[in-house]
Amino acid sequence: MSRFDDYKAEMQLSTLPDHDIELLLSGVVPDSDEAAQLVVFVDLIRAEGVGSPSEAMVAQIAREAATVARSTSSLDAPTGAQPPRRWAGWRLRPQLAVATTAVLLFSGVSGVAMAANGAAPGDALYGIDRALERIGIGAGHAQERLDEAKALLSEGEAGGALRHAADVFDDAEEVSEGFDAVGDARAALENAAGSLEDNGDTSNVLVRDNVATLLDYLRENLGEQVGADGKEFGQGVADLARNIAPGEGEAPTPEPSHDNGKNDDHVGGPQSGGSGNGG
Amino acid sequence: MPIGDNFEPALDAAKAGADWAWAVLYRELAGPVTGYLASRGAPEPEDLAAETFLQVARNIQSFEGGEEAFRSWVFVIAHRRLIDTRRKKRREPDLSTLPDDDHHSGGDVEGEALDRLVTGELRLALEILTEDQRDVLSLRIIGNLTLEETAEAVGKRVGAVKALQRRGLIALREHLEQDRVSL
Repeated sequence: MSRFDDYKAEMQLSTLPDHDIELLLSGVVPDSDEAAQLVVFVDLIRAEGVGSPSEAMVAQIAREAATVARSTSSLDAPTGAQPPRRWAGWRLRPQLAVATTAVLLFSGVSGVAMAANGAAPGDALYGIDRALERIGIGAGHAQERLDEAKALLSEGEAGGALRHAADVFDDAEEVSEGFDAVGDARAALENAAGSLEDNGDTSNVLVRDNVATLLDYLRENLGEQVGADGKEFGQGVADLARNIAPGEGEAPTPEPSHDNGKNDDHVGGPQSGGSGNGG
Repeated sequence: MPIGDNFEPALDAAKAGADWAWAVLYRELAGPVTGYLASRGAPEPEDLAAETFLQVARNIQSFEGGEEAFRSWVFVIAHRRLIDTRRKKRREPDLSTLPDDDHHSGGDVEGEALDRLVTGELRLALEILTEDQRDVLSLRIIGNLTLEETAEAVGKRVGAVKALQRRGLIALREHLEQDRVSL
Protein backbone atom coordinates (compact mmCIF):
# COMPACT_ATOMS: atom_id res chain seq x y z
CA MET A 1 0.00 0.00 0.00
CA SER A 2 1.43 3.36 -1.06
CA ARG A 3 1.62 6.37 1.17
CA PHE A 4 -1.16 7.87 -0.90
CA ASP A 5 -3.33 4.86 -0.17
CA ASP A 6 -2.53 5.22 3.52
CA TYR A 7 -3.49 8.86 3.33
CA LYS A 8 -6.75 8.04 1.58
CA ALA A 9 -7.60 5.37 4.10
CA GLU A 10 -6.86 7.67 7.00
CA MET A 11 -8.92 10.47 5.52
CA GLN A 12 -11.79 8.06 4.99
CA LEU A 13 -11.65 6.88 8.57
CA SER A 14 -11.18 10.33 9.98
CA THR A 15 -14.45 11.34 8.39
CA LEU A 16 -16.21 8.78 10.52
CA PRO A 17 -19.31 10.79 11.34
CA ASP A 18 -20.00 11.61 14.96
CA HIS A 19 -23.49 10.25 14.50
CA ASP A 20 -22.10 6.86 13.47
CA ILE A 21 -19.69 6.84 16.37
CA GLU A 22 -22.51 7.50 18.79
CA LEU A 23 -24.58 4.71 17.26
CA LEU A 24 -21.62 2.39 17.39
CA LEU A 25 -20.86 3.09 21.03
CA SER A 26 -24.49 2.73 22.04
CA GLY A 27 -24.70 -0.72 20.48
CA VAL A 28 -26.49 0.13 17.25
CA VAL A 29 -24.96 -0.94 13.93
CA PRO A 30 -24.19 2.25 11.97
CA ASP A 31 -25.00 2.65 8.30
CA SER A 32 -21.47 3.31 7.17
CA ASP A 33 -19.22 0.34 6.51
CA GLU A 34 -16.32 2.10 8.19
CA ALA A 35 -18.12 2.26 11.47
CA ALA A 36 -19.93 -1.04 11.11
CA GLN A 37 -16.65 -2.93 10.89
CA LEU A 38 -15.92 -1.85 14.44
CA VAL A 39 -19.11 -3.34 15.86
CA VAL A 40 -17.46 -6.63 16.72
CA PHE A 41 -14.78 -4.85 18.68
CA VAL A 42 -17.28 -2.71 20.56
CA ASP A 43 -19.32 -5.79 21.35
CA LEU A 44 -16.29 -7.53 22.75
CA ILE A 45 -15.53 -4.61 25.02
CA ARG A 46 -19.13 -4.50 26.11
CA ALA A 47 -19.01 -8.20 26.90
CA GLU A 48 -16.41 -7.43 29.55
CA GLY A 49 -19.15 -5.77 31.57
CA VAL A 50 -21.77 -8.45 31.25
CA GLY A 51 -20.74 -10.54 34.25
CA SER A 52 -22.84 -10.61 37.35
CA PRO A 53 -21.78 -10.96 40.96
CA SER A 54 -22.53 -14.03 43.00
CA GLU A 55 -25.47 -13.86 45.37
CA ALA A 56 -23.07 -14.23 48.28
CA MET A 57 -21.18 -11.20 47.04
CA VAL A 58 -24.41 -9.26 46.57
CA ALA A 59 -25.54 -10.10 50.08
CA GLN A 60 -22.21 -9.17 51.62
CA ILE A 61 -21.79 -5.86 49.82
CA ALA A 62 -25.45 -4.94 50.26
CA ARG A 63 -25.25 -5.47 54.00
CA GLU A 64 -22.01 -3.53 54.28
CA ALA A 65 -23.26 -0.68 52.12
CA ALA A 66 -26.58 -0.50 53.95
CA THR A 67 -24.81 -0.30 57.27
CA VAL A 68 -22.53 2.45 56.00
CA ALA A 69 -25.49 4.36 54.55
CA ARG A 70 -27.37 4.12 57.84
CA SER A 71 -24.38 5.44 59.71
CA THR A 72 -24.31 8.52 57.47
CA SER A 73 -28.06 9.07 57.38
CA SER A 74 -29.88 11.61 59.51
CA LEU A 75 -32.95 9.48 59.03
CA ASP A 76 -33.80 6.41 61.00
CA ALA A 77 -33.67 3.28 58.94
CA PRO A 78 -37.25 2.48 58.02
CA THR A 79 -37.85 -0.78 59.77
CA GLY A 80 -40.92 -1.32 57.67
CA ALA A 81 -39.21 -0.61 54.40
CA GLN A 82 -39.80 -3.40 51.96
CA PRO A 83 -38.80 -3.84 48.35
CA PRO A 84 -41.44 -3.24 45.69
CA ARG A 85 -43.54 -6.30 45.04
CA ARG A 86 -41.60 -7.45 41.99
CA TRP A 87 -38.49 -7.61 44.16
CA ALA A 88 -40.11 -9.37 47.06
CA GLY A 89 -38.32 -12.59 46.25
CA TRP A 90 -34.97 -10.85 46.14
CA ARG A 91 -34.85 -10.23 49.87
CA LEU A 92 -31.62 -11.93 50.75
CA ARG A 93 -30.98 -14.00 53.79
CA PRO A 94 -27.82 -13.12 55.63
CA GLN A 95 -24.86 -14.93 54.14
CA LEU A 96 -22.63 -14.50 57.11
CA ALA A 97 -20.27 -17.30 56.19
CA VAL A 98 -18.85 -15.43 53.24
CA ALA A 99 -16.55 -12.46 53.58
CA THR A 100 -15.12 -10.99 50.44
CA THR A 101 -11.53 -10.04 50.17
CA ALA A 102 -12.61 -6.64 48.95
CA VAL A 103 -14.53 -5.69 52.03
CA LEU A 104 -12.01 -7.19 54.38
CA LEU A 105 -9.16 -5.36 52.75
CA PHE A 106 -11.05 -2.11 52.53
CA SER A 107 -12.20 -2.06 56.10
CA GLY A 108 -9.38 -4.00 57.66
CA VAL A 109 -6.53 -1.74 56.76
CA SER A 110 -8.24 1.24 58.30
CA GLY A 111 -8.79 -0.65 61.52
CA VAL A 112 -5.22 -1.73 61.78
CA ALA A 113 -4.17 1.81 61.04
CA MET A 114 -6.21 2.93 64.02
CA ALA A 115 -4.57 0.36 66.23
CA ALA A 116 -1.08 1.01 64.99
CA ASN A 117 -1.29 4.76 64.80
CA GLY A 118 1.27 6.36 67.07
CA ALA A 119 3.17 3.17 67.83
CA ALA A 120 6.80 3.67 68.75
CA PRO A 121 9.81 1.67 67.60
CA GLY A 122 9.94 -1.60 69.49
CA ASP A 123 6.21 -1.67 70.05
CA ALA A 124 4.26 -4.59 68.73
CA LEU A 125 2.34 -2.33 66.36
CA TYR A 126 5.30 -0.35 65.14
CA GLY A 127 5.85 -2.52 62.07
CA ILE A 128 2.26 -2.04 61.03
CA ASP A 129 2.41 1.67 61.70
CA ARG A 130 5.37 1.96 59.36
CA ALA A 131 3.85 -0.30 56.74
CA LEU A 132 0.67 1.73 56.68
CA GLU A 133 2.66 4.90 56.38
CA ARG A 134 4.41 3.42 53.38
CA ILE A 135 1.16 2.73 51.60
CA GLY A 136 -0.25 6.09 52.51
CA ILE A 137 -2.84 5.18 55.09
CA GLY A 138 -2.96 7.14 58.30
CA ALA A 139 -5.60 7.06 60.98
CA GLY A 140 -8.35 4.63 60.16
CA HIS A 141 -12.05 4.37 60.83
CA ALA A 142 -12.12 1.54 63.31
CA GLN A 143 -14.54 3.30 65.61
CA GLU A 144 -16.88 3.88 62.69
CA ARG A 145 -16.61 0.22 61.82
CA LEU A 146 -17.50 -0.70 65.37
CA ASP A 147 -20.49 1.65 65.24
CA GLU A 148 -21.62 -0.24 62.18
CA ALA A 149 -21.12 -3.52 64.00
CA LYS A 150 -23.31 -2.21 66.82
CA ALA A 151 -25.96 -1.33 64.27
CA LEU A 152 -25.88 -4.87 62.96
CA LEU A 153 -26.16 -6.21 66.50
CA SER A 154 -29.18 -4.01 67.18
CA GLU A 155 -30.83 -5.66 64.19
CA GLY A 156 -30.29 -9.08 65.67
CA GLU A 157 -27.31 -9.98 63.52
CA ALA A 158 -24.87 -10.89 66.24
CA GLY A 159 -22.78 -13.04 63.93
CA GLY A 160 -22.64 -10.31 61.33
CA ALA A 161 -21.62 -7.81 63.99
CA LEU A 162 -18.73 -10.02 65.03
CA ARG A 163 -17.58 -10.48 61.47
CA HIS A 164 -17.83 -6.78 60.88
CA ALA A 165 -15.78 -6.11 63.97
CA ALA A 166 -13.26 -8.71 62.86
CA ASP A 167 -12.70 -6.71 59.71
CA VAL A 168 -10.72 -4.13 61.63
CA PHE A 169 -8.01 -6.71 62.17
CA ASP A 170 -7.81 -8.06 58.69
CA ASP A 171 -4.48 -8.04 56.92
CA ALA A 172 -2.66 -7.64 60.20
CA GLU A 173 -0.63 -10.74 59.48
CA GLU A 174 0.13 -9.60 55.97
CA VAL A 175 1.25 -6.18 57.02
CA SER A 176 3.62 -7.29 59.70
CA GLU A 177 4.94 -10.49 61.12
CA GLY A 178 5.00 -10.89 64.85
CA PHE A 179 1.49 -9.61 65.27
CA ASP A 180 0.00 -12.91 66.30
CA ALA A 181 -1.98 -11.50 69.20
CA VAL A 182 -4.19 -9.37 67.02
CA GLY A 183 -4.37 -12.11 64.42
CA ASP A 184 -5.58 -14.42 67.16
CA ALA A 185 -8.13 -11.83 68.22
CA ARG A 186 -9.50 -11.65 64.72
CA ALA A 187 -9.64 -15.42 64.49
CA ALA A 188 -11.47 -15.55 67.82
CA LEU A 189 -14.09 -13.12 66.54
CA GLU A 190 -14.59 -15.07 63.36
CA ASN A 191 -14.77 -18.36 65.22
CA ALA A 192 -17.40 -16.91 67.52
CA ALA A 193 -19.36 -15.63 64.55
CA GLY A 194 -19.12 -19.04 62.89
CA SER A 195 -20.35 -20.78 66.02
CA LEU A 196 -23.29 -18.43 66.28
CA GLU A 197 -24.16 -19.02 62.66
CA ASP A 198 -23.92 -22.77 63.10
CA ASN A 199 -26.07 -22.72 66.21
CA GLY A 200 -28.54 -20.18 64.91
CA ASP A 201 -28.48 -18.53 68.30
CA THR A 202 -27.91 -14.94 67.30
CA SER A 203 -31.06 -13.56 68.88
CA ASN A 204 -30.37 -14.90 72.36
CA VAL A 205 -30.33 -12.03 74.85
CA LEU A 206 -27.24 -13.28 76.63
CA VAL A 207 -25.43 -13.70 73.33
CA ARG A 208 -26.29 -10.19 72.32
CA ASP A 209 -25.14 -8.86 75.68
CA ASN A 210 -21.85 -10.65 75.35
CA VAL A 211 -21.34 -9.40 71.82
CA ALA A 212 -22.11 -5.87 72.98
CA THR A 213 -19.56 -6.24 75.76
CA LEU A 214 -16.95 -7.41 73.29
CA LEU A 215 -17.65 -4.50 70.95
CA ASP A 216 -17.32 -2.11 73.89
CA TYR A 217 -14.02 -3.71 74.80
CA LEU A 218 -12.76 -3.29 71.25
CA ARG A 219 -13.94 0.31 71.16
CA GLU A 220 -12.14 1.17 74.36
CA ASN A 221 -8.93 -0.70 73.74
CA LEU A 222 -8.34 -0.84 70.01
CA GLY A 223 -6.46 2.41 69.92
CA GLU A 224 -4.43 1.49 72.98
CA GLN A 225 -1.70 -1.00 73.40
CA VAL A 226 -2.72 -3.25 76.22
CA GLY A 227 0.33 -5.08 77.41
CA ALA A 228 3.87 -4.70 76.19
CA ASP A 229 3.38 -6.84 73.14
CA GLY A 230 -0.35 -6.66 72.57
CA LYS A 231 -0.92 -10.12 73.98
CA GLU A 232 -3.14 -8.86 76.75
CA PHE A 233 -5.37 -7.17 74.24
CA GLY A 234 -5.54 -10.23 72.03
CA GLN A 235 -6.20 -12.45 75.02
CA GLY A 236 -8.93 -10.12 76.20
CA VAL A 237 -10.69 -10.34 72.87
CA ALA A 238 -10.28 -14.11 72.79
CA ASP A 239 -11.73 -14.46 76.31
CA LEU A 240 -14.77 -12.39 75.48
CA ALA A 241 -15.24 -14.23 72.21
CA ARG A 242 -15.09 -17.50 74.10
CA ASN A 243 -17.88 -16.30 76.36
CA ILE A 244 -20.02 -15.74 73.30
CA ALA A 245 -19.40 -19.11 71.72
CA PRO A 246 -17.30 -21.63 73.67
CA GLY A 247 -15.01 -23.77 71.59
CA GLU A 248 -14.84 -27.52 71.59
CA GLY A 249 -14.16 -28.98 75.02
CA GLU A 250 -14.72 -25.70 76.76
CA ALA A 251 -17.46 -25.07 79.21
CA PRO A 252 -19.63 -22.09 78.46
CA THR A 253 -19.56 -19.28 80.93
CA PRO A 254 -22.44 -19.59 83.38
CA GLU A 255 -25.26 -17.23 82.60
CA PRO A 256 -25.02 -14.20 84.85
CA SER A 257 -27.88 -13.32 87.12
CA HIS A 258 -30.25 -10.66 85.87
CA ASP A 259 -29.01 -8.11 88.38
CA ASN A 260 -25.48 -8.20 87.08
CA GLY A 261 -24.34 -4.70 86.36
CA LYS A 262 -22.46 -3.78 83.27
CA ASN A 263 -18.79 -4.45 83.54
CA ASP A 264 -17.21 -1.14 82.68
CA ASP A 265 -13.68 -2.04 83.65
CA HIS A 266 -12.39 -3.07 80.26
CA VAL A 267 -9.13 -1.20 80.09
CA GLY A 268 -7.07 -3.79 81.87
CA GLY A 269 -8.69 -6.68 80.03
CA PRO A 270 -12.06 -8.32 80.33
CA GLN A 271 -13.23 -10.21 83.35
CA SER A 272 -13.23 -13.79 82.24
CA GLY A 273 -16.38 -15.63 83.11
CA GLY A 274 -18.43 -12.55 83.86
CA SER A 275 -18.85 -10.54 80.74
CA GLY A 276 -22.60 -10.13 80.68
CA ASN A 277 -23.65 -6.53 80.79
CA GLY A 278 -27.09 -7.13 82.12
CA GLY A 279 -28.73 -6.00 78.93
CA MET B 1 -31.40 -4.25 32.48
CA PRO B 2 -32.23 -0.85 33.97
CA ILE B 3 -34.07 -0.68 37.26
CA GLY B 4 -36.59 1.68 35.73
CA ASP B 5 -39.53 3.03 37.71
CA ASN B 6 -38.34 1.29 40.83
CA PHE B 7 -35.09 3.19 40.91
CA GLU B 8 -36.44 6.11 42.91
CA PRO B 9 -37.89 4.02 45.77
CA ALA B 10 -34.73 1.92 45.72
CA LEU B 11 -32.57 5.02 46.02
CA ASP B 12 -34.64 6.38 48.90
CA ALA B 13 -34.43 3.04 50.68
CA ALA B 14 -30.70 2.83 50.01
CA LYS B 15 -30.23 6.23 51.61
CA ALA B 16 -32.13 4.98 54.64
CA GLY B 17 -29.92 1.90 54.77
CA ALA B 18 -32.15 -0.89 53.50
CA ASP B 19 -30.21 -4.00 52.54
CA TRP B 20 -32.60 -4.95 49.75
CA ALA B 21 -32.12 -1.61 48.03
CA TRP B 22 -28.37 -1.93 48.05
CA ALA B 23 -28.69 -5.47 46.73
CA VAL B 24 -30.74 -4.11 43.82
CA LEU B 25 -28.27 -1.33 43.06
CA TYR B 26 -25.23 -3.54 43.42
CA ARG B 27 -26.67 -6.36 41.37
CA GLU B 28 -27.49 -3.90 38.59
CA LEU B 29 -24.14 -2.18 38.41
CA ALA B 30 -21.54 -4.58 39.81
CA GLY B 31 -21.09 -6.37 36.48
CA PRO B 32 -20.48 -3.29 34.34
CA VAL B 33 -18.32 -1.63 36.98
CA THR B 34 -16.23 -4.74 37.50
CA GLY B 35 -15.97 -5.20 33.74
CA TYR B 36 -14.86 -1.64 33.27
CA LEU B 37 -12.23 -1.95 35.98
CA ALA B 38 -11.03 -5.27 34.56
CA SER B 39 -10.81 -3.88 31.06
CA ARG B 40 -8.76 -1.00 32.39
CA GLY B 41 -6.26 -3.31 33.99
CA ALA B 42 -7.29 -3.12 37.63
CA PRO B 43 -5.37 -5.90 39.39
CA GLU B 44 -8.34 -6.90 41.56
CA PRO B 45 -11.41 -5.55 39.75
CA GLU B 46 -13.97 -7.23 42.00
CA ASP B 47 -12.31 -5.82 45.08
CA LEU B 48 -12.13 -2.38 43.55
CA ALA B 49 -15.79 -2.59 42.54
CA ALA B 50 -16.71 -3.47 46.11
CA GLU B 51 -14.68 -0.53 47.38
CA THR B 52 -16.44 1.66 44.86
CA PHE B 53 -19.84 0.69 46.23
CA LEU B 54 -18.81 1.29 49.81
CA GLN B 55 -17.64 4.73 48.74
CA VAL B 56 -21.00 5.22 47.03
CA ALA B 57 -22.69 4.25 50.29
CA ARG B 58 -20.63 6.78 52.21
CA ASN B 59 -21.69 9.56 49.84
CA ILE B 60 -25.20 8.41 48.97
CA GLN B 61 -26.89 11.06 51.09
CA SER B 62 -25.55 13.77 48.79
CA PHE B 63 -26.71 12.15 45.57
CA GLU B 64 -29.75 13.53 43.77
CA GLY B 65 -30.88 12.38 40.35
CA GLY B 66 -32.25 9.57 38.27
CA GLU B 67 -30.95 6.17 37.34
CA GLU B 68 -28.73 7.33 34.50
CA ALA B 69 -27.18 10.00 36.67
CA PHE B 70 -26.62 7.43 39.40
CA ARG B 71 -24.93 5.09 36.99
CA SER B 72 -22.70 7.86 35.79
CA TRP B 73 -21.90 8.88 39.36
CA VAL B 74 -20.92 5.31 40.26
CA PHE B 75 -18.62 5.10 37.26
CA VAL B 76 -17.03 8.41 38.14
CA ILE B 77 -16.22 7.03 41.58
CA ALA B 78 -14.99 3.76 40.07
CA HIS B 79 -12.76 5.64 37.65
CA ARG B 80 -11.27 7.76 40.42
CA ARG B 81 -10.54 4.71 42.52
CA LEU B 82 -8.92 3.17 39.47
CA ILE B 83 -6.71 6.24 39.08
CA ASP B 84 -5.77 6.02 42.75
CA THR B 85 -4.89 2.37 42.28
CA ARG B 86 -2.74 3.17 39.28
CA ARG B 87 -0.87 5.83 41.19
CA LYS B 88 -0.32 3.48 44.08
CA LYS B 89 0.80 0.72 41.76
CA ARG B 90 3.35 2.99 40.11
CA ARG B 91 4.92 3.56 43.50
CA GLU B 92 5.18 -0.15 44.20
CA PRO B 93 7.52 -2.65 42.59
CA ASP B 94 5.90 -5.05 40.14
CA LEU B 95 6.39 -8.36 41.90
CA SER B 96 4.43 -10.51 39.54
CA THR B 97 3.31 -10.34 35.96
CA LEU B 98 1.98 -13.86 35.86
CA PRO B 99 -1.55 -14.19 34.52
CA ASP B 100 -4.23 -15.07 37.03
CA ASP B 101 -6.04 -18.16 35.88
CA ASP B 102 -7.93 -18.67 39.13
CA HIS B 103 -11.11 -17.39 37.57
CA HIS B 104 -11.14 -20.13 34.95
CA SER B 105 -11.66 -23.16 37.11
CA GLY B 106 -13.83 -26.08 36.09
CA GLY B 107 -16.76 -26.08 33.72
CA ASP B 108 -16.58 -25.74 29.98
CA VAL B 109 -12.89 -26.20 29.20
CA GLU B 110 -13.28 -25.59 25.47
CA GLY B 111 -15.40 -22.52 26.07
CA GLU B 112 -12.95 -21.19 28.60
CA ALA B 113 -10.10 -21.68 26.16
CA LEU B 114 -12.04 -19.76 23.55
CA ASP B 115 -12.82 -17.04 26.06
CA ARG B 116 -9.17 -16.71 26.90
CA LEU B 117 -8.28 -16.53 23.21
CA VAL B 118 -10.86 -13.85 22.51
CA THR B 119 -9.91 -11.92 25.61
CA GLY B 120 -6.29 -12.16 24.62
CA GLU B 121 -7.00 -10.78 21.16
CA LEU B 122 -9.06 -8.01 22.61
CA ARG B 123 -6.36 -7.02 25.05
CA LEU B 124 -3.84 -7.13 22.26
CA ALA B 125 -5.93 -4.72 20.24
CA LEU B 126 -6.46 -2.46 23.22
CA GLU B 127 -2.72 -2.19 23.73
CA ILE B 128 -2.42 0.07 20.72
CA LEU B 129 -4.64 2.67 22.37
CA THR B 130 -3.38 5.36 24.65
CA GLU B 131 -4.49 5.22 28.26
CA ASP B 132 -6.87 8.15 27.76
CA GLN B 133 -8.40 6.55 24.68
CA ARG B 134 -8.90 3.32 26.57
CA ASP B 135 -10.49 5.11 29.50
CA VAL B 136 -12.92 6.96 27.29
CA LEU B 137 -13.94 4.00 25.16
CA SER B 138 -14.39 1.72 28.15
CA LEU B 139 -16.51 4.27 29.99
CA ARG B 140 -18.64 4.86 26.93
CA ILE B 141 -19.04 1.21 25.94
CA ILE B 142 -19.09 -0.64 29.25
CA GLY B 143 -20.30 2.16 31.46
CA ASN B 144 -22.79 3.33 28.85
CA LEU B 145 -21.94 6.89 29.81
CA THR B 146 -22.80 9.84 27.59
CA LEU B 147 -20.16 12.13 26.19
CA GLU B 148 -20.83 14.66 28.93
CA GLU B 149 -20.76 12.05 31.69
CA THR B 150 -17.55 10.59 30.35
CA ALA B 151 -16.01 14.05 30.21
CA GLU B 152 -16.89 14.53 33.87
CA ALA B 153 -15.47 11.16 34.81
CA VAL B 154 -12.11 11.68 33.16
CA GLY B 155 -11.92 15.40 33.89
CA LYS B 156 -11.74 16.57 30.27
CA ARG B 157 -13.82 18.73 27.95
CA VAL B 158 -16.48 17.09 25.81
CA GLY B 159 -14.56 18.03 22.66
CA ALA B 160 -11.47 16.30 23.98
CA VAL B 161 -13.47 13.18 24.76
CA LYS B 162 -14.91 13.15 21.24
CA ALA B 163 -11.44 13.45 19.78
CA LEU B 164 -10.11 10.68 22.00
CA GLN B 165 -12.85 8.22 21.11
CA ARG B 166 -12.55 9.05 17.42
CA ARG B 167 -8.78 8.56 17.36
CA GLY B 168 -9.14 5.40 19.40
CA LEU B 169 -11.67 3.90 17.03
CA ILE B 170 -9.58 4.83 14.03
CA ALA B 171 -6.55 3.21 15.59
CA LEU B 172 -8.49 0.07 16.36
CA ARG B 173 -9.90 -0.06 12.88
CA GLU B 174 -6.45 0.22 11.39
CA HIS B 175 -5.11 -2.42 13.75
CA LEU B 176 -7.92 -4.81 12.96
CA GLU B 177 -7.44 -4.34 9.23
CA GLN B 178 -3.68 -4.48 9.17
CA ASP B 179 -3.19 -7.37 11.55
CA ARG B 180 -6.43 -9.10 10.67
CA VAL B 181 -7.16 -9.81 14.27
CA SER B 182 -9.40 -12.81 14.44
CA LEU B 183 -12.14 -11.94 16.92
